[in-house]
Amino acid sequence: MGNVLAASSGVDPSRNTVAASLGLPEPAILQPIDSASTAATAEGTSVAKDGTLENPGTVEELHKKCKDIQAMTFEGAKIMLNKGLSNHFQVSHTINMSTTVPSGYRFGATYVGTKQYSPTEAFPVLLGDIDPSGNLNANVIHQFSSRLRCKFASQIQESKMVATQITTDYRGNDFTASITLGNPSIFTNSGVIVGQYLQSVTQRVALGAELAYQYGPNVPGRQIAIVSAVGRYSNGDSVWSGSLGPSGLHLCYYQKASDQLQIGVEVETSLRMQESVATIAYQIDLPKADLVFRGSVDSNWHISGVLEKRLQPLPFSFALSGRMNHVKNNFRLGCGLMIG
Amino acid sequence: MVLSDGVKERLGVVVSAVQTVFHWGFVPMVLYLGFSKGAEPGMPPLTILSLLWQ
Repeated sequence: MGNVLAASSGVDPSRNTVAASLGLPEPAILQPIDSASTAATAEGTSVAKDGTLENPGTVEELHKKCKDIQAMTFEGAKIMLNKGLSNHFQVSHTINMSTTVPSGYRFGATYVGTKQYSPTEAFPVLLGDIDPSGNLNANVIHQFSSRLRCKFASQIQESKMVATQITTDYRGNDFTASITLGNPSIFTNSGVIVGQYLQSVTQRVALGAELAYQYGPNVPGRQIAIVSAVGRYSNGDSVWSGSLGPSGLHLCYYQKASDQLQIGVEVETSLRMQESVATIAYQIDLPKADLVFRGSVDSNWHISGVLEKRLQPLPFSFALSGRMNHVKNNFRLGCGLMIG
Repeated sequence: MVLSDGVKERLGVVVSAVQTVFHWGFVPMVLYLGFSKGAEPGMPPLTILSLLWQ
């Protein structure tokens, strides 16, 4: 089951800052620091002594370590049945009951091809997720060569393509360049183009830039471009990452305190909204108890926690999620069971 | 890029047709690819019912 499971567990919700801010669908990002860079890391450890730089990963994954340990809460009850039919094929049935997100049944299918550039990943990957009224999320990821990878994500709601995103990543030896095309339309003459570049400057420092260009009749002045600078400093078990642009500042710090504990701090300032949010998050792994706990507190007084426990020896895992705000006086509880 | 109304209309038909095919064809295509790859050696062959239970 290696491939399919690796592919589906690596699917990473809402990590794409650009996609999130544009309301685009969450692209399925496979294993964090991907195949190309895993290979690069493997050889990098031996080559690093010669002073050669490694591939820094993509700009999209810049804050990933810090974001990953934050609690992703959900609301209501969720039952998910995953069924691996072969190493290349997996289907899932999900029933979701909630007051905030649409309730009901969803069917998902994942196909993983046979083209392999690293032992953990195979391409192409096709992920489809559909509900009975025909709302579809589709993701296609393909690695054309060891350096070039394309991602396509699309979301169809009520027979309308509400969001589309095409991303191409090129990974050089010490840099990654990406270009993303969002919601292109030749009829309304609108769309978003995002270019990103990240370069390893030293073995610890990576610097880059992002240019987002949006055009269309609804955009003030028909077009707008925003440049931001991004950077990351990693030192052993800690990582500083930041992005700075005219729209705001985003700063993350991640520290691996021990094998069990990881801590992350994030400050996000938006000049347009005139607000700042700071978050402190931690993740505790207890492999002996098959348990992962993620907790976070932010400056809007949201307290969140998600507990995930695998019920060995059964093929079940159980998730409990809670999110509370004393100031606004609301509370959301979620519980989920994943079979398979 | 300026398109005349007639061209836009015809392009619209093509785009919406492609979109409909993609909409209703994507998940069946994934299932077809999965089934055509078949079961692992030594495992019982896949049938439509294996989507629901073994």
